[in-house]
Amino acid sequence: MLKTITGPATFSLNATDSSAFVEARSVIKTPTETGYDTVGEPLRLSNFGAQSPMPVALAPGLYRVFVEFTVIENQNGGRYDYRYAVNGTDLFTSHGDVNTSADPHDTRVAQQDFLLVVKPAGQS
Amino acid sequence: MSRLSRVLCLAAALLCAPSLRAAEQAPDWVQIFEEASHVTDWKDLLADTASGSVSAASLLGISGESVTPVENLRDVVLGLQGLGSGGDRGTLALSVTPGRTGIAPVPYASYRRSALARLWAATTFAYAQGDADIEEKSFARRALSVETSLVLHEGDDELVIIGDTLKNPRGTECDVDQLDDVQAARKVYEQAREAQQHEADLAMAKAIAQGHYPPGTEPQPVTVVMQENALSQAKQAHYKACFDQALKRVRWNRSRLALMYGTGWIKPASGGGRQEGLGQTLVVSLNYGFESLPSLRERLGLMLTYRQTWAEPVLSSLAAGTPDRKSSALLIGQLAGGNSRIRALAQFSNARSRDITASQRAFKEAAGLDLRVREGLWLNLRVGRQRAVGGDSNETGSLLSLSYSPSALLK
Repeated sequence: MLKTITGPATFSLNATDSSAFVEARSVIKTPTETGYDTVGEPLRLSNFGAQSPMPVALAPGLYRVFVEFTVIENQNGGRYDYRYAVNGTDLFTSHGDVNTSADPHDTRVAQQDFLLVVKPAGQS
Repeated sequence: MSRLSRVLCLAAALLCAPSLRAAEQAPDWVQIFEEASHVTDWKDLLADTASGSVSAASLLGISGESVTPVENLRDVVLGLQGLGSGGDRGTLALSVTPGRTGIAPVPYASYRRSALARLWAATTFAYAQGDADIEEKSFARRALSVETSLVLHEGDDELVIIGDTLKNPRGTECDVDQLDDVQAARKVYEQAREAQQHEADLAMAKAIAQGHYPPGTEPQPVTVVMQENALSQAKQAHYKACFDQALKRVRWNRSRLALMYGTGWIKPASGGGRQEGLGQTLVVSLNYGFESLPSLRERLGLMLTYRQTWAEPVLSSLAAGTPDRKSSALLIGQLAGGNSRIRALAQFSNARSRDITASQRAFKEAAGLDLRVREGLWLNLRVGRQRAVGGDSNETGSLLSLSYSPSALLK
């Protein structure tokens, strides 16, 4: 998956209909001759923490963004429904229920990644 | 000697106390409880704040252990299977908290910002039925109840505390990202993808650096499947400790309002006698945690419970066929201190009726001790003065019982 943006990137997670705890942890990396360099700290968006959208200043170029979704059952249950977006474009969605066992902390994860191309401001 | 043994010895000592006055003159309550629980700092002493429940099961005297929490239709079927072949004979107790099941789940975002959402999340509906023998006659009883509660200061709510701990996990058990097994499981995916994509990514990065951008078509959203794998298992294993640690920050004496309503019916188990109502009961309970007094906010809890009953049958007249009925108002005050496993309390009430209903058997004055056997299950000891069943005198009573606090109200 490739997403092209111009100017600053804004990452957002909409999980307002989820009774479970939902978190999206994004790690932004840029390719180098020897591998990948990580840009900044991981972005943590959730329905219990940081407010969406979260703007991130990125220099023009190519980035591979690794996203780790985590859903944790709590006392209100394990229902979840989320959308992960960059600059208003939904990239990943999911819904369901992680409460599948007697364990009160049923947890499920999903790991995804996508390419993010950042164009300089003013370039269409 | 185990903690349980020590407390049982203490309970036995209290039972042998000749009177409440003698118990009040016991040498040093603080010293006794410290010895019983190995707690040396009174600040650490906590107590369960479960208010006088009027759940359907408790109306019928059915043990809380027998209550089947309903999360889906299967739970109802399992509960019904516990009945005898007579259909309405036998014990059945069901409770459902819709806001905490798939029936009408409360989104966490709403829970976090709305007191009404938290109130709904704590609302429990219950049904119970069971048999009882009164004056050598057998009766079948049914009861319904609804109850809810609200922690008055949002920051004292247990789910809010857990969410806030997950938000700022540094230095807590919730900081699972820093754990070796989580990091190792995470890298499996990332390293595989990096090895797979590096050559193409590097080539595209070089092209972009020279001003050659790929076509900017809008991607279609991908539906993600949440998985149970090594990473989820590593995280889940740590979240139990995370939640448990966060819950230790829940103040035992947090201020809370609870509302409960119950009603029931009774009829002879055989012979086709008339069905009688068990009256209606409304309970309003307010716990005050002394938030404004720093020296007391971790130590004491004041609980006021107002219990209003309408048309409650007088116990001694139930077997006569046409029971006498009485409405009553009962105000109970409790001052409690304790810890997460043991609590001491003094209780006072305005019980004074001449015709004794179930409600009016509450202690007029009492001292007590509660021991948490395990989460939600308490061993309760009370010694105090209550009205005699005959209604024309007081008597010294003692009570040793097991009680169950529904998790929807208390964690």
